[in-house]
Amino acid sequence: MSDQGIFSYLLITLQPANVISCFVGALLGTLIGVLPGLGPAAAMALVIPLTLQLGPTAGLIMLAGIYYGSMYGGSTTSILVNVPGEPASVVTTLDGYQMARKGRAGAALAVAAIGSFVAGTFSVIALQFFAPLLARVALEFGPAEYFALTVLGVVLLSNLTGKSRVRSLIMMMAGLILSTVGTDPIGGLERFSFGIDTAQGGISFIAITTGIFGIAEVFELMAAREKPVEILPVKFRELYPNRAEMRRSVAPIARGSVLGFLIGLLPGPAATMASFASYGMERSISKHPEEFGNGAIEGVAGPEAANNAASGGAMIPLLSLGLPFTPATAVLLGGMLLHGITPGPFLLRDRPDVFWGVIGSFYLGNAMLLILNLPLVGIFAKLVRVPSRYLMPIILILCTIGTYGDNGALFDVWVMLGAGVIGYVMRKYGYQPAPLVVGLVLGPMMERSFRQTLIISGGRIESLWEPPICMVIWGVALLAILLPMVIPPIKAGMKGRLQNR
Amino acid sequence: MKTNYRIFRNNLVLATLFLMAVLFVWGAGSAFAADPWPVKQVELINPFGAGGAADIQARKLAEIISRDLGQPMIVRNVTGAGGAIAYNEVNRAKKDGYTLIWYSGAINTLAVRKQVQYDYNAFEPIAGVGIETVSIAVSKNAPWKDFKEFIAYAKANPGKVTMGNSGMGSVTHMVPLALAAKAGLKITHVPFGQGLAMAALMGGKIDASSQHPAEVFNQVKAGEVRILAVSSEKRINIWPDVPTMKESGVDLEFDQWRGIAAPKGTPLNIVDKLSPLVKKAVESKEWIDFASSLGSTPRYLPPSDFAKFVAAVDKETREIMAEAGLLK
Repeated sequence: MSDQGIFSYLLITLQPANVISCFVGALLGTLIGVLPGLGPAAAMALVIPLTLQLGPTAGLIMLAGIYYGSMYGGSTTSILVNVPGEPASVVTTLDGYQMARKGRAGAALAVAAIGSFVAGTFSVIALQFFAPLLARVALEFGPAEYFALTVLGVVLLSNLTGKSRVRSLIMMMAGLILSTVGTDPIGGLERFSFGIDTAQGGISFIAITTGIFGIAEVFELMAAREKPVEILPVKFRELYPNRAEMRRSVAPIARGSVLGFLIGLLPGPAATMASFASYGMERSISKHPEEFGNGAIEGVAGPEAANNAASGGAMIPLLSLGLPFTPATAVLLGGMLLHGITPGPFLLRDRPDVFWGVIGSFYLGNAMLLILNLPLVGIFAKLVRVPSRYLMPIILILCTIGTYGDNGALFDVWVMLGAGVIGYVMRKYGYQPAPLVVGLVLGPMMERSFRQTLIISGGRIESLWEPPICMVIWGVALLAILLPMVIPPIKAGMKGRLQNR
Repeated sequence: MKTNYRIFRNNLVLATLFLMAVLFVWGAGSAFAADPWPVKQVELINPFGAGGAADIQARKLAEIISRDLGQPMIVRNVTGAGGAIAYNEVNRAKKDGYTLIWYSGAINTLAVRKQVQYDYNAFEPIAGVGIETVSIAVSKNAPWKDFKEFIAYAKANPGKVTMGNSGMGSVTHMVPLALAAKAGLKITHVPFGQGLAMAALMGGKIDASSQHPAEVFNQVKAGEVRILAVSSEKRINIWPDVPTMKESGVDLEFDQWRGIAAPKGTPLNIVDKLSPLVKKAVESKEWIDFASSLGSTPRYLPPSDFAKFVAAVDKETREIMAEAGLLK
């Protein structure tokens, strides 16, 4: 196809109906992202009947808008009130909320929006030019490779917050154990559900995260003896990131974009993994790792870029192979089938208008989201100054509704309240909740891929590391364990020699 | 002193509100009923996840039925535990015709595996909607020309052929189980989640995969995978060249079926009102075109025939499971 052809197809995006769909989708997505509980997949399923009236191009543009829009909004409540709006924004609470407590909520929100915009645009460029190639690479990853990746994840992220490694590991293992509640993904047997219906489907991820972060924060403020930190009124100029903060964010955003995009190609909760991985990477290469957890802007910029880039990456298996790897892209596939559109290698040939119309809407939607979100920063940042006796009850209600709305099960609300109590106790004894969430995310994928690998190979344990990609991943994991043990003595030795001279 | 009092008051207000939230949670839960049916929206509970083939069919059908029902029919996904959670919810629901289940072969396997404490007798069949065949897919580079060669290879190499399915106890697992029993094979079954079995097949991690047509026709169209056989009685519209298993010498016929049911004890006038509406929707050109494009075969069954059909599948499922040693 000539460049002229692509250009004229991209113009389809700018037809009024498509622009409006894009805007509505992006706006809905932002709202869904802001509210804890309701996730993009559920929201998209609700909107599908509406999109049928719109026709394929406009309908799919709206669905896609909800999908990437939710990644923008997710950070807002993480930063302002320590309640992650989406699983992918859990890690943003670590430094985003600390920034808000220091009066830099505006800067954190703005950096999150800018990072999301850059990453979203980067991922659509990569999608446009490399989709078929990358889709083939994604197919090279099978169960054995996924298992090796989850092990690498456990190793690299076990010291996410850099406090106590032992406590982090305890939390991570607790998360892995919690993830085994419910029906066994391979054998179909019930485990640890104690006859409770809802628990058969597993412990709700949303209930745990809202409880352990949001409800625990409410408890913390309830128990506070002294007056909560007074946040000084900020001038408009100070709402936005200053020059130093922007400079520190550039590299994390760039790294987060690439990392997130690559992780997005893989199945499972890609956006959540991408944000954790980006945070871990930023902390380990930072020159001042002690700032992480106390309001380091890199800890907001990197992960927020990564989760947006991952949502772009996840479109690749869908558009070029017709395979949905995540719940949200599965809904998108459902929407396509309802419109009579067949995703896969022939989508570009058969319906270039739909393909380029949707791709074009990614560019447009990302720009819209930035314009939509930057002015909101001012409004949201003021929220922090609302006295906690008004703000906290609202948070409590939002958390309850969000958790109940996820599955419509009261059991989940009890889990949330219980997780809140446990989360509060954990804080008092210096246990970080983030590694527990990592365990909860990695657990199901780790178990399933481990058992699939062994079933396929007939129980040969070697099959876990024989494939070449696995060897590389295991090698990296081994280095990650050994290097921190080996390097300090060597460094100390060299220092000693220098001093003896 | 004044500040102390203020902090105390704040905390008191917070504690009270927290208590209220707890009480609210405790007390929430009941709804109301009214006559004549339907005066409010009807919920169709779908045990499968949003976006899958089962889900989009439920949504499309609900949309067509809604046009004549006078009230909207809404699809709600209640996923988890292979569908047990959804069935439990409908089983416990009020018998007022406002909570229906998007009924399918899951009830047979759940009951046989004792994952629910009841079976098809706990539901009032309203209408059969159609059947969905199971297809055996292999990679485009697979050495087997047709289904007979595949069977011969599997026979010569017991346990060596790995076949993906979309979950333990699903219909896509039943078909390979029955196939192994009928043809005297030993197959290694690998359960996967949505979309992932196809990725593993295309990436060469498994030899074959047992899938519903809607999950694989995109890849067939693209030439990435081939279909060796389908498990239905007749060939299906979208693949006129793919033989049935019977044509390929294996005496096996087993399909996923779909329909709509209500909790047992739902007034018969509701069943009698809804069943003809489902018939009209299933026999509309819009539905036939849509279902066929996904590889489903529309077939309306009135309540009595539908009940007999489900009972027969239940018996067959029990036999397959018993043979595979999966009975409890």
